[in-house]
Formats: sequence, structure tokens, C-alpha cells
Amino acid sequence: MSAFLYQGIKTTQQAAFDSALYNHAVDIAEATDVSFLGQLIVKQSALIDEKKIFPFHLGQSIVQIRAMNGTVILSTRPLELMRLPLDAKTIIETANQGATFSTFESGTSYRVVNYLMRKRPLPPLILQVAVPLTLVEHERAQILSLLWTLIPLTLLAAGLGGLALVQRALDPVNKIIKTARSIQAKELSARVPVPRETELKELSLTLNELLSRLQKAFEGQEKFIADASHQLKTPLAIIRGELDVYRRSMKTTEGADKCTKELLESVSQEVDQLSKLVDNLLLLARFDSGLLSLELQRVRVDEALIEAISQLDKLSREQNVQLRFDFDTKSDDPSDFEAMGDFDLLQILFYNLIENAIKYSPKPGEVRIRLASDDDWITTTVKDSGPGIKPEEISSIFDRFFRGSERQLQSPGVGLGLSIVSRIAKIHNAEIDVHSEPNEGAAFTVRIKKI
Amino acid sequence: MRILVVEDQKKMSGFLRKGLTEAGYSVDVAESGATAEVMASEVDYDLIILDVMLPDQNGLDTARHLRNDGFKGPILMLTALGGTRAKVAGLDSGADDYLTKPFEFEELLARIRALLRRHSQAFGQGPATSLRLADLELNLLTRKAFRGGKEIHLTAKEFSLLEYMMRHPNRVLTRTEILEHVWDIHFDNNSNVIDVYINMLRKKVDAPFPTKLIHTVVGSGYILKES
Repeated sequence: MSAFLYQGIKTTQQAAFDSALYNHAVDIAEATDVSFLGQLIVKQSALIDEKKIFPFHLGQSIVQIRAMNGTVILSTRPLELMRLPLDAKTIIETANQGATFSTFESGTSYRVVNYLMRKRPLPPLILQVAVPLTLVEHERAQILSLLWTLIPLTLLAAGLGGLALVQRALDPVNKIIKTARSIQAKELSARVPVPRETELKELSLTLNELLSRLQKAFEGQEKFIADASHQLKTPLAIIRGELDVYRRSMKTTEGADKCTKELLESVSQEVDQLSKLVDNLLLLARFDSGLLSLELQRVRVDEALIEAISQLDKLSREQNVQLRFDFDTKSDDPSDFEAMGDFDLLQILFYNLIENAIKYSPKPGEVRIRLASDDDWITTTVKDSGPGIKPEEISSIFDRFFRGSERQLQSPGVGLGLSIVSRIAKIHNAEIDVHSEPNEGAAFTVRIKKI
Repeated sequence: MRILVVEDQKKMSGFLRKGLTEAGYSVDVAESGATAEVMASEVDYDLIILDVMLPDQNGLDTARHLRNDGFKGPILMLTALGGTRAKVAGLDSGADDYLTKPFEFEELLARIRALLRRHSQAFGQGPATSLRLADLELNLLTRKAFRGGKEIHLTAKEFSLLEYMMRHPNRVLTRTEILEHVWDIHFDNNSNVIDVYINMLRKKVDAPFPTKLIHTVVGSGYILKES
């Protein structure tokens, strides 16, 4: 491409050069007078006209006027130094065409115009004007080197420019992608930006419509869960309240028999069980819907754990299972037990682990809870004194509604607890290990990363 | 003591009325938020129990309206939704406490007693609102601790532990006593939990200051005193 360009420039330049040379020749011809003696006189001004710009040095140009037979009539240079070439063929061509051009070498390259000049009363003459090509050649060399540098540079610039243009064109698309990515279930109210370009506008509007529909669906689900919470819990609260109030009044009147007391106690326990189940199901529903928008905060893991123990204190004593809780560490710096988490959820995690351990311990029995902190991890271990978990069942204990075959016979529950434990652990990037030997009890270890 | 129960579920309000009346309170029931606002403007209630889900309006709005209308007594909110977020929303709307359904009636009574006590304290009718030992001061209303005028940042449980010790100064408190009173936990065995928590508390309360207030009584427990 570069070569074509160069050839093109060269041809155009040659034509422009020749045209300028021709004009120069015409000017000289007009500045040439015939004296009364029949002698030719060239006005110096035409040779050194500085008002005109020529692509050659005027000072170095040579003018010769020849008769049609080739005889030199006038020359601006001594003839022994320089005789411009002129053969018979050129004379005929010049006579026919009015002007011809040729190039010759004499130390440097010269371009010559042979111009048919008529100066009456003299016969037709040939005016030869030769100018050096040094300027043109220099210019050509410059153009050539310019081309060599410019073309790669231009290509590079064009490439980069193209890239920038493409990027600019894709910018709205990237914005759409970025926004779409950042939209989570919890903030479905966000919309992707709508650019001006028609196709992209169409795409954005379609995406936004989709988001609107999703938002509606999610809000519907959120409302459903809130309503379900209310609808399920209100009757439970009523049963619970009626029972509590009745039992309180019994205490004061001392009118109830043992049988009624036992009945009330049993119903009360079932209500508790049902309440817990409802809580767990609603919590899992919120996990599944992605609605539980969590911002993890700096929390004290030890306090979430001891809060859970405190909630289970009554149950453990009713079930005749002793809780043992010890710090398995010399550390007494509060910051050793700080992690990023959700206090309520951590409390639910520990509650479920310990409640499970109480359930599966023999009565009387013991549940050991240990809390340790090392450089990186806060480790909680909950160990029961029950039959342990069968090795083949360990992998499925975290499944929803799974209950171990041994365990099923002993105690109430529906098997949601550990499924919730594993969900909460996942949210906290916590690791759970289960270690179990037959008749040695099962030990659950939760490791949460320290801040 | 007169309590207004704002609850649209007749059975719910039924046992609340029964149980609260038996506990010695006089009880009125409003079945909607609007009714509650009218009733509260006519009668000077000592406390309002407010269900978050009402037929005519959100209980959070009702709480806000009651406060705007000038009700200054405690508001106890009842709700089906647990979790800190829901609690914060409730407390922000002007409620003083929050109970998740279903609840133990005994707990409701305990909360009502605590709210009424705190309220009378705040209005200068009851016992002191702050505890003081040497340069250590606990503000029981704001639940903030200061030593030498400088605030000590405590968690809620750490504050409770310190409050318990401040309420029983110059007396040896056994580990069992502390565990039972502060955490409501009854271990029949020796646990180092109290030792760890006392040490954590020391780090915040004693370590930065020249005089120590928390002392170990070997073999028995801990004592809070000016040495």
C-alpha cells in the first residue's frame, strides 16, 4: 500500500513540477525580446523572479535558446560547461506538441522543458529551461521517510482509535452488564441504565421489564412469608397464652387435679414444638427465597453461644441433661471471639446444635460445649453423650427432614435443625465437622474465621 | 395500673385481658389502630401492648401516631416476625420493647414489670437511675458505663454483669450466683465461663486504670469493692 501511495505521490508531484516548469518557461519566453539587431534578450527579472514560488532553485536553473536545427543561440551558462541535450526527435516532438519534457544527469539530475517559442520576425525557436531536481528529490526522500514512519503510526493510531470507538460503543452494554450483575434478590428495585441507542435501549427496557416482574414475584413471596408468619404464629400464641394463663390461675386456686396438669404440660410442650417447627420452616423459606438480606457485622461469637445456652437451660434441666460449657483457651481478650456475622443467626446455629445434642443424649446425660480461639479461628465444639451417628448417615445429616434411623425412635423433631445449621454456617463461611464413634456420642465442630 | 391492648384477634386479646387482669392490671382492648389512638387520647394509660399487624394500619405507624399525639408511657410491641431488623424497626417507631409470638405469658409479665419500673425511674419516681462505685458509674437508662468520666464500651451482657456486681458491692459473688443472675444459666458443675467473662470485664473496666475494683476471692468467687 505504501508503495502505491508513494508512486501516486511521485506521479502527482512530477506533474505539478512539470506544470510549474512549463509556466516558468512561458514566463521566460514572454520576458524574451528581440532587439532591433535581431538579437534575443532575456530579461534577468524573469530568471530570478522571487515573487513566484517554484519547486526548484531558480539560481541553479539554466536557460538556452536553440534554433530548430539545434544551434545554441543563447545560453545563461558557458556552453563548454553545460550543453542541454536536444536530439532531432525531441525537436520534432516539441514542434508538434508545443512543449516536451526530459530528464538528464549532469552532476545532479535536471528536468528540462523544451518549449516552442515564437518571436517574430525570427523563425520558431526552442527555449530550453533546465532546473535541478535536488529539491524534488529531497522532498521525495522526505515523503518516503515520512511514509515509512507515518503509515505504521497511522495504522497504530487507527487501531487504537478503533478500539476506543468500539469500547465507547460497548460502554452502555458494559454498564448494563455491571448493573445487572449487582442486582440481587434483596435490591430488585434497581434498574439497568437505558442508553439512547435504539437497539441497546430496547435491550435495557426489556431487562427492566423482566426485573419489574421479578421484583413483584419476590415482594409477593416476602409478603407471603410475613403473612404466613403472622397466620401461623397467632393461633400458636393464642394456644400458648390460654394455656399459660390457665396454668397461672390454677396455681392460685389450686383447684386442678394431677391429670389436668399433665394434660396441660403435654399440650404446652407440643405447642412449643410446633412453634419451633414454624420458626424453622419460615427461616428456611426465607433462606430459599434469597430474601434474608444480611449485612454481616462485627459480632461476639461467645455471646451468641452463651445466649443460646441460656435459652436451652430450662429444656436441659427438664430433660435431665447437664450442659457443660467451658472456654478451652487461656485467652480472655474479648477481641479473640470477634467474627463477621449475624448475631441472631449464629445464636440460632448454636441453639440448633445444642438442642440436637440434648435430644440425642441419654437421660440423665451430659452435653459438653467448648469454645476456643486461636490465631485464625473461633472453634465451638458441641458433644453429646448419645449413641453417635452411623458412618453411612453422616453425609446426609444436614439434609432437610433427614433423621437418623437410631435417633428417630428416641425423640421428637422433624430434622430441620441441622439443615438450618449448615445454611447459617455457609452464610458465615464457617466450617462444620462431624466426628462420631459408636456409643461415644457425636461431636459437631463449627469453625468461624476470626476478624 | 391501666394497660391498653391493641389487638384485632379476639382470642389473643381475650387471654391477654384475662391473664393481665389476674395479674392485677386493669385492661382495655382496642381492635384497630384508629380506635387505639382515640382511646389513648381519652384515658391516661400506663402502658400499651401493640400488635404489629392490625386490620387498618401497620402497628409501627400506630406507635408513631401515639407518640406524636403525646403518649409518653411505654409501648410493648407484639409481632410474628423475629430478627434484629424487625426489632430495630419496631424500636425506631417509638416502641420500648418487643416480644415475638408466641411468647411465654410469664415473660410478657416480666417485660411489663420491667418497662413500668424503668418508666417510673425515668420520671424520677423510683430508685436511682444510675449506680456508682468509686469513679465507676453506670447509667441504667442509657445502659452506658463511665469510669473517671470516660465511657467504657461494653456489650449488653458485659453491662448486665457489671450492673449485677454494682448492685451487690462489697459482697462475694459465687460463680453460680453470677451465672444464674446474669445469664439465667444453672450449671451443676464447675465451669470457667465466669472466670473468662470476669477477666474480659477486667480488661475493659480495670486494666486501663490505676485502682482495681474487681477482686478475686480464691475458692469462692468475685467481689466488687474499692480496695
